Amino acid sequence: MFLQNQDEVHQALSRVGYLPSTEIATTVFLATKLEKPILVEGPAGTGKTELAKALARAFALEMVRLQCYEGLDESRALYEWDYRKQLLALQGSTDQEVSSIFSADYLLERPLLASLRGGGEKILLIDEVDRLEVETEALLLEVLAEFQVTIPELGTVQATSKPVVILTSNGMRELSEALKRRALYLYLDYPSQERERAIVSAALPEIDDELAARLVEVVARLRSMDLKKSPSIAETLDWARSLLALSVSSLDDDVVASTLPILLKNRSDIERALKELLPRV
Amino acid sequence: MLLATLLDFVTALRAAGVSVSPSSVIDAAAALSVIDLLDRASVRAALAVTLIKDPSSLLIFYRLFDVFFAAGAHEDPSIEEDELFDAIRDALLNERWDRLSELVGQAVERFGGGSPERPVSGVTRAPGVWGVLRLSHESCVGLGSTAL
Repeated sequence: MFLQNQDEVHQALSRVGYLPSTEIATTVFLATKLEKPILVEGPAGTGKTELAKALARAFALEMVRLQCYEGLDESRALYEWDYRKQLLALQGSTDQEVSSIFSADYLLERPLLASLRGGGEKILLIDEVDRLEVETEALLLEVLAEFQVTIPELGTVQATSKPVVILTSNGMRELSEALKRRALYLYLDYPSQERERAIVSAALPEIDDELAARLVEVVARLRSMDLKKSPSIAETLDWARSLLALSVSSLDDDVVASTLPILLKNRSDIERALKELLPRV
Repeated sequence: MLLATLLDFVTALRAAGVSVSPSSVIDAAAALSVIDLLDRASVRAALAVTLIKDPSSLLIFYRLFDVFFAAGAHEDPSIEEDELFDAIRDALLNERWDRLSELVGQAVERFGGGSPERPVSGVTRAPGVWGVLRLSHESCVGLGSTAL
């Protein structure tokens, strides 16, 4: 992907409804220039996965997604030999043909390999990489640093075009140095009230400025409380949409109390927030 | 010239307890060669994403960046010189990071003679500021509250 400067990233992302900070726009620009993956870390609900999706939309790229989980292995992340096809080929064949069953025809592509092969530029989203065990992280390193996959029976598969790689992490555990060294590190925290208000206004142009300001203020207060799960940006937007649907023009205590479950999904969080936000109710 | 400034900045980061690998420095140098150097926010973002690899170091990075690449005068005339270090210490103890950045910036301008044109010389002549920064990092990681 060729970009002139970070303003191009800023404009393209804004067009598809994702308002990037200077850090985000600069990081994406650098990732394409230096051909390095981006490791996005931060609390859940700050728009990490959304960044990859927005980039795919903004630059019309195909997105390949690898969802990480404990126990993910090579055959799910990189490639697998198609045993069924190989067995069928072996039946009725002579000995000389046996070696040919380890060729590209018998390969099942998994996300990492798929992102390197095939025409067109792609976005590779490696989601929640902190769910992987440390040992499994190593599976990613060759793709991240060299944009290639080595298959013992076949040799090294090079990328036909280098994908833009985005890794996300909720910081559940410390990632290995080896992985961090290969990536640009972008820390995404909850947005400032000012930026969140801009996000709300961009998503819902019809919203009243004052309501938007009040709304992000309440959300910011909720995030400053010690809750099990702070409201995400997506939940702020859900809340704003609901308030619009209910034709609410100003946020009074009753409205906040009755719509709080849109922001908080946990009973004890809701009780706690009500107590702190609306001591009189 | 640019490279020398970058290397001095990396040395300062390491002195403040942030580990920076050589490959990160190479990335940072490459990043500086493709972005607009006159845009302070971009330079800051570019150095942050290439040099820093964990959120706790990010705090010290921002503080140090402001000292190193001084943003220009934003002096608070209500504070006498003698009171500046006391104010810095208070800000540190109360974890008022915004206030701290502002005060440290002032300290550099007053004692280091730093200016946007001569960011590096300003820093090396302000040893007192280094002490404060080291303290601020230690208190970030929860070691230094007794050091005061």
